[in-house]
Amino acid sequence: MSEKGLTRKEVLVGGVGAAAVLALGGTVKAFAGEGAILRPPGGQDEARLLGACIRCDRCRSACPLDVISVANGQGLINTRTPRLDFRIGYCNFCNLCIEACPTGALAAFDPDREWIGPAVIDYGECLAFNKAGGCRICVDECPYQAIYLNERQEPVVDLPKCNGCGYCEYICPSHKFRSFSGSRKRGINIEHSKEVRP
Amino acid sequence: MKITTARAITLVLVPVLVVLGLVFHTGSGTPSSFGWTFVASVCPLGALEAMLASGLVIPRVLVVLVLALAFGFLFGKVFCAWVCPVPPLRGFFTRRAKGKGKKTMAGGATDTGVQDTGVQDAEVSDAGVQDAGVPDAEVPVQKAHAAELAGQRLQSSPETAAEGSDAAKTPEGLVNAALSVDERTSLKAGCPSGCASCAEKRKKLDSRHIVLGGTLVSAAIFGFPVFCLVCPVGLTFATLIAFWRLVGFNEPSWMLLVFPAIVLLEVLVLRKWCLRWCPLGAVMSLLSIPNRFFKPKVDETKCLLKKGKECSVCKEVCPEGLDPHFSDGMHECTKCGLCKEHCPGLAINMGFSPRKALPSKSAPSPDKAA
Repeated sequence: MSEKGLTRKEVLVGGVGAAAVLALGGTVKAFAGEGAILRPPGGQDEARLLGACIRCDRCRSACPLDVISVANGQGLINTRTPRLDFRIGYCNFCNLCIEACPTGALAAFDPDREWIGPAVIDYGECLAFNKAGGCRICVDECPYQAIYLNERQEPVVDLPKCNGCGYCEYICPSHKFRSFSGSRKRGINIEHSKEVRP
Repeated sequence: MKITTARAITLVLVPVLVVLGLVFHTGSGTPSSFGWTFVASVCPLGALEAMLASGLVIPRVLVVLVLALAFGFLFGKVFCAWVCPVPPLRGFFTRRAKGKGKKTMAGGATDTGVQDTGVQDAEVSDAGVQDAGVPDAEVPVQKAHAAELAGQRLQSSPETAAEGSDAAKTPEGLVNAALSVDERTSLKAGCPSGCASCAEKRKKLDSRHIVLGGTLVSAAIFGFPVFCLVCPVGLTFATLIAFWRLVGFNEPSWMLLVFPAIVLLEVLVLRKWCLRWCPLGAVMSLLSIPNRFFKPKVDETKCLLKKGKECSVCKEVCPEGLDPHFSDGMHECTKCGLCKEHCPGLAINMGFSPRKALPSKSAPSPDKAA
């Protein structure tokens, strides 16, 4: 046993601990799969978000509209990271989550040029495409006038205008007027996209 | 207010603040990052991992790391005893498991500690470490009383009287009364496995720092803060949040069971988590090396040792295995106040003033040699 250096036992314990953290990292990374999680504004660069997010919960707790939820149970690597749930709230780009993020995992976000993801109509769920017909709630309510009705009175998303704020999904009444099918989707949903906003 | 009382209040206040933040939507966050909008503390380990994993140089994180250095200089490893939920959780569960042993025996201030050498020895071998948690409501009161008593007697009775007929009773009785039976047992039982409280001395680097190295390398290689996934501090509060998501947003998740399971594994299976494994503790200890303040300072005129009495209470109660008479490993001091409160001679002070240079164990002090 040396006076200052590490004892053999300490090296062994430390080695086991370090190896465990390395093994954990490798395993979790290997089973990470394709991340298709909707992130808060500024978190669209998945590598940056996963790299810098220390899972501190501040973005979620800062969100005044409760749209930020926790990605628990959606892949180990995403555990405790933020995800957006537009069935609970929507985003008004108030920037509070970006301000609260202590590690820069959420970068500055320009809602006029970037998007959280595109709004995509689910033809199976949307009331306008089904017997009931006539629903134009998302068209009327979209804060960015990004949804219009075509000649058949069906809603169409004008992608260059959509920044994925999710208000359409939030107010979509498809789940209220249809019998419960077990679908987690609404008539219009913000979807994850790797594409840049057109 | 006693240090352990203040500490218990802080330890409770932290989760209370987190829960209030959840309920009232204040955005204050968790110990991983706690603050108001962009003014917030950040876990130094998480900050390092985040920078290595993302490859970003984040100015805000650099500022926070500099402030963490300043904090370490002022307060040392205070996080470990005042904020971290691991020691109180371990205390809670091991105390539960031990059952009545401690509480019934603690009353017997007169027994010599010889009779309980049986089964209990194995169970209580790390009583000192447990005490780093929320102090038992009853035991400290007794100890404080004993310490008071000790102080009075030392003041009232001259040295000669103590050497007289009561000699056998007084000094040992005082030392014994200052510790609970369990703690005394653990002292007498020794520690065959070489736990930290029996270690010769703490060095600047140990196994935790190797784990820390692995943590940082792992974050850099795999591109995400790997340790955050299993951090007992993060997971304790993640459990609160998962529970909040369940009751507030009807959002059930298996993680509500997985998180506490990981924490319990770390706390109860890796029982020396704090001393051997914790990379966060390793960061804190490195940040605390320059610390000069709020360290235990022994008043040699009151110390029983200097009165020729066998006393090692301060050394034995220290959850970090430190001896306040020496400078060795003093950067590991978590300011838990146990040495101060257990000292039968009331010789230990933990005020702000920096302590003067003390001898190292490798250079024995004159009275040790004598």
